[in-house]
Amino acid sequence: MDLDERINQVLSQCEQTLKSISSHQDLEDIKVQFLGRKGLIRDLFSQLSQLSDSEKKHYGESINKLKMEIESKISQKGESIQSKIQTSPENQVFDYSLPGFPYSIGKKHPFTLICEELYQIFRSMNFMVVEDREIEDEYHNFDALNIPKWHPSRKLNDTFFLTDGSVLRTHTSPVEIRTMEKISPPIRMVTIGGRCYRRDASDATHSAVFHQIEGLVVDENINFCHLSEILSEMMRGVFGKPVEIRFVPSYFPFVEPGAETLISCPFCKGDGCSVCKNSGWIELGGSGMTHPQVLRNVNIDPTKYQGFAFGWGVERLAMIKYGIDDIRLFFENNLSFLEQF
Amino acid sequence: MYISYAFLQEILGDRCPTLDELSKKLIHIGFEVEEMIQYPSNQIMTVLVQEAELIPDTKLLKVNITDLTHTFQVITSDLKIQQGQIYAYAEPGTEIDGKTLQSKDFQQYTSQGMLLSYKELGLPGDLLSTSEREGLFRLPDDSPIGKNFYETFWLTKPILNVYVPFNRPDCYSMIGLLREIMCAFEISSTNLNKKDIRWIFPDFKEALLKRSVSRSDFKRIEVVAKDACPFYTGMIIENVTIKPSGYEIRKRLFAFQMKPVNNIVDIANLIMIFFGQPLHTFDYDKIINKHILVRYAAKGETLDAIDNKCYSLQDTDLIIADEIHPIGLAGIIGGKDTEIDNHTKHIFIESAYFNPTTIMNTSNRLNLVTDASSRFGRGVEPSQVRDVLVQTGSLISILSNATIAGETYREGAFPVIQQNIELKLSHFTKVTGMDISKYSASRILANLEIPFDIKDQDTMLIHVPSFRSSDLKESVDIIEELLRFIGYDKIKPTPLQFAIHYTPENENYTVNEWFRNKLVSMGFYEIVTDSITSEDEVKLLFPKDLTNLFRIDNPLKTGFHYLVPDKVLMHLPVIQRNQSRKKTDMKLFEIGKNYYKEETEALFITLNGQMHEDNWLQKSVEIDFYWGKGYFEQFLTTLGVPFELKVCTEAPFDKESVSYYYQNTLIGYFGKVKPSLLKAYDIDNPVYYGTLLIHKLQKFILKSPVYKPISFTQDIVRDIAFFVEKTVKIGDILQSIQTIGGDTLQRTLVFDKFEGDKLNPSQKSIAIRMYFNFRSNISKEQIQLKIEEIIRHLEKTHHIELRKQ
Ligand SMILES: [Zn+2]
Repeated sequence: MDLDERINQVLSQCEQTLKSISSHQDLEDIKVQFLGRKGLIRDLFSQLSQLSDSEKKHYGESINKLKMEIESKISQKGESIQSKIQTSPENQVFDYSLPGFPYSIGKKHPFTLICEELYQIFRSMNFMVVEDREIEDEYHNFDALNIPKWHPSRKLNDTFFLTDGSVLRTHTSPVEIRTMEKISPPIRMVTIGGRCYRRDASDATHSAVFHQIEGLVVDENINFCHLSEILSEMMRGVFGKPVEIRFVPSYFPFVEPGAETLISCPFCKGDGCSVCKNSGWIELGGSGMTHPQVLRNVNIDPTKYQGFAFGWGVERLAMIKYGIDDIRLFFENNLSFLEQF
Repeated sequence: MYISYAFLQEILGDRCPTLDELSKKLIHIGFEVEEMIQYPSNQIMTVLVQEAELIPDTKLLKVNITDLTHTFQVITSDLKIQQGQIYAYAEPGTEIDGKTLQSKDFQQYTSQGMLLSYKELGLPGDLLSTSEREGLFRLPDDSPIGKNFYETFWLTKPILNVYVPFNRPDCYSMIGLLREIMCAFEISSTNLNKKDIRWIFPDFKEALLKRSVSRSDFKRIEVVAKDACPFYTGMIIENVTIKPSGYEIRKRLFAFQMKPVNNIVDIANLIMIFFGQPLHTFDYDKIINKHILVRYAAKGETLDAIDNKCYSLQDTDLIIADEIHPIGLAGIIGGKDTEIDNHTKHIFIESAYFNPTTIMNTSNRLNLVTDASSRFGRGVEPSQVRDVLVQTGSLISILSNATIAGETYREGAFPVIQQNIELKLSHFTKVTGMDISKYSASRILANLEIPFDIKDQDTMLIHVPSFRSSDLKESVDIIEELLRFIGYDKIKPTPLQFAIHYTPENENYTVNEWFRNKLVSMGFYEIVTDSITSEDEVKLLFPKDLTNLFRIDNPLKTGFHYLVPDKVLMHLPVIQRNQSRKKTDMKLFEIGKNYYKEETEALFITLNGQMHEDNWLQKSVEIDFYWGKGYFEQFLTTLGVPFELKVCTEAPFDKESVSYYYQNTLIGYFGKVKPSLLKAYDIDNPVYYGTLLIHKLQKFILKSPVYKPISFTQDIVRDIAFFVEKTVKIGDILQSIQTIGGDTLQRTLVFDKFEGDKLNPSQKSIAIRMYFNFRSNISKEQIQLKIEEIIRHLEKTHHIELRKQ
């Protein structure tokens, strides 16, 4: 038999044998059979002495290669046996405490959470939810709302004016006007989380960009006490418990009588706490009976119809509900903040 | 407006409500108490200096003082002290600035306590004159001696800073607020003359007035701009003595938180606050040719004002002028040239009614708000213009030992328009939901000094007084007045009655919510960002052409002129800020607006870092273009939007980007943010950003699903693997497969992609899995034929080279 053939034969013999075994003991035997002092490799080497010098060199290399290959196969088989033993059912210890895959689940922004809540509350009260533009004209943002030309809110100090003469709406009240221009009474509308702009330097309670919730009801027999009912239902929805509504007179050109709206502190039952600054009451924003001039401006007859309206800051509501003390956090989007909601 | 509680007690006597009642009630009638100013209260005496003597070889004075019963000796370094002056004195043992005062020895002299400066008295420097702030605080020479300093100057009781709503110019005065307070507490005005000048100076006596004939050198008052100044009055006072105000006036300046100037200006200021009528005093001798003109400014004219600023005037600004130049900006501020100084001999006092709009426009334009402009700008009470002038002139003449020269001058007259409003008590009920009796309505109106007639059981005719002409215009205004005093707290919730009908959902809202819910469950955090950005930042996206952007003329922060044209400019700072707080791996979204050509609501997605953290189950994966793109495609596929991909040319990206189209309209884009943009925001790892115009997909979200019968046989899955030139787009291949596969082909999946070593460098190896839905009307053989057709087509069109299995 030619030596080349013999080398191949030894290799395939080794492969065959390795396939058939499954224990470390068998592997040891194979090691001896092939690599031992009387093993098949040694036997091949011993046959070299009968060859010429050039053949010696050639076959020497081949046999060395074979030896290395066999060594590597044996060691591989060793690892595979070891791993089989380890993973075999009788050696497995199940650990239910090992963490599962860390899927990430995101969070909605607290502003959205409160808006979704308000949406549900007003849907449940049969309100139509509407939206409108942020870039407004002076007519809808001021004039139609009975805000006189000299009113301080119309100054360059308070309102952003665009180069084309339009304004960034300073409140969501123009949505009331645009709604009344489109549909006739009875109207029961709300706009939730409409973005507004005021030229206020930002601090813990002011932000040039903020959002409002604005509600409007126009019907034949609508009065101030009904406004109180809607607001207290809304607050019951937001805080999950009855909250008292109180009004104090305040001046907004588009409502008459106009009011600042307060709620009884939902956290301390009126005993005083840090949220209500120890007064038992929290200020939420403007409300009142729609001014007859506003109705006339949209061709609704104020001798037949009356309306009430309110417009409050959504961030302010969220701040009270979630105990957030700085409005700027809403727009910073710090993940450590967002993770909490 | 400031209300000194001590002053209020002085006026109302024992009818005055308690401080607590007062501050509560003010809020309930619509006057928010913004602040309660409280001065320190301490055992500080007013004392008279009997003798002041320099201690030899020192810079100290030995001063003997008296409280009229005892005498004390103090040593002081304030060398201006003289006999006859009055100071505030603290005995040893008094607490000053938290320290207890001890007697102190200077050489052989003992200082028994000390005389005090304004700081030691705890007085605010900005409400004092310059001389009052220098050295020891000298009291007016006619101050009471031997009394508690704070009590004497009405400083033991708080001063309420009351917010006056803009529609209530009448309450920009003490008499206005007094009217409200008296109505709220139902204090009768019998035996109480609110307009008595003696509330300002108790010792005022008509008999003391000195009068002389009119001055012959006075030319006249000429009102040119009659529309802006319907009524103008003036008065000349001769031979005034300018000096600091005396005790009674100084005390009231504290009460109204006014800074003392001199005995003329102080009185004009007090009268303004008390009556609500601003006055101006000119140095008569400085009026050129003694001719007063009320006219609009000529373009180019300027005024050097008493605030040491020079104002450029326009032809809409109303001015007071002499024959040469402007001497005052009407109703806003006086001119420096005619200001009263220590040498002034004769004065001209002005009292007028200026058109509120004219004053407000100029005040707004110049951004100059003064005590006068805020009153004229809202409208002063026209009927008292002349009366207040007369009272001011009289008081000035007495307090500056001067003579009233002749009569008051007047030009024009205020047109009295009697406004009547018909009020129906049933209207009150209709608006408020509450009943009111004719009796209580009458009582409230009477207390507010609003005259009325009763027409019938339900109707009252209200005669609007001139001081309320700007805010009482129709029935609801009267209703608000009645409601204020009945009490807004009486409004109680009452259920509404209305027809129940189906109200449709807001479709925008439904779309937004659909995306929000999906994104959050996929691990995204929602963010809310600002919409205003700087010119520097928008130029990162639009270096040359800003024409389609919305520009703010009056930004709040310098340079912040633009509404954000692409939210990427808002999202990158969020990434940067969170990275600086060691937060990595961000999947963020926002539903907000871009402002480019129009305001457009859209979904914005920003990705940075890894898809998930390294963990024992799976090594972390860096987010790349395809990881991000998948979100967009899965949304579109899930919704069943037949979309097309195109090369993206949007500004925030370089090469790795794509645009999505539906029916040839752009519906979104996504890509790797270009490095230059990241650099501008200090971000050094890749950020992927994209937007989806979700409202263009509305119909796919709102569409109601339609059930198709489920096939109960298994899907047939076939794989093909092939080599193809790198330039061939996989998207095109998938599209070809889908076209041929038709309805039977449910979906395809690219499950392997390989380029590299062993391949022809111009080729890539692709493996695609096809899921066929095996239905009864199609046989396995037919599917096999389809697959063969697909392969033939791909070989022909895209030159694929099928790999051997
Ligand atoms: Zn509380």
